[in-house]
Amino acid sequence: MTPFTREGDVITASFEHVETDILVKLATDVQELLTDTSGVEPHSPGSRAIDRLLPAAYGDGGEDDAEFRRFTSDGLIEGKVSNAQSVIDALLSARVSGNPVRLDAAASQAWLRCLTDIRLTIAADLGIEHDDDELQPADRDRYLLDVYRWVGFVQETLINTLEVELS
Amino acid sequence: MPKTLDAIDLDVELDERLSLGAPWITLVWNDPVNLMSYVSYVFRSYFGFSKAEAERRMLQVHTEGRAVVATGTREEMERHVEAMHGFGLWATLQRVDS
Repeated sequence: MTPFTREGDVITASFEHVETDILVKLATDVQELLTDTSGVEPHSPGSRAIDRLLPAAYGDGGEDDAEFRRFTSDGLIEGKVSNAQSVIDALLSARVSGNPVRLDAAASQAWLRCLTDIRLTIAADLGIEHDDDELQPADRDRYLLDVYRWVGFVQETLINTLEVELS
Repeated sequence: MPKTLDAIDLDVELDERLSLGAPWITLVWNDPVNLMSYVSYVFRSYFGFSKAEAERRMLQVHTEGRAVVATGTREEMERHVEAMHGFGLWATLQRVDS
């Protein structure tokens, strides 16, 4: 991958085929996780990733949390699924055309959020809950941890490019 | 774009609102996943904080475990919390006196 750089109104980066495959798979995983929440009870053993993507707003585990999730989860899920689709579309169209990935302002924001959702989902799988958790991964988690760090690198280069616009 | 609050304004506003009744605050909590540069970027782009202020609050999240990023009515804080969840940050709201 080449880091994101600005070219006029768009920012661009190039991804290897294998990197495209990985990111498309991860974005699809996020979509599937979010569109199949019907049978998942909040704060149950199977809900760690969902709980992190849709955290409790009041943190008291009571009626306020349930009501907040009831009123906001559809919109949040719709946004996150659409962000993931933006990542998938940009990667696949870049692969078809043989050109770098090109993101306008809206797509850049979608990518920024989706890369976060991907990392939150992987972190939930790896059990990364505290600041030093990722330093001692089990051997079986080493590949996933490498992917997790690489997605962080992709996001960092995207932030570096977008930050300039705020100054 | 939500109103910008700097540290002094926030304290003043808290004092004013305390005298008017219980205000609500939005808290952002530390997590091991989100990049420090990302948290700072979200604080700048969403709340309109200056770079220095955004970094101060981001570091407060990192070192103290949480930081107040907004105060106001319950409805306003729910909107901020929803927006933070859209960004993937771990945010909650609560009454100041709770």
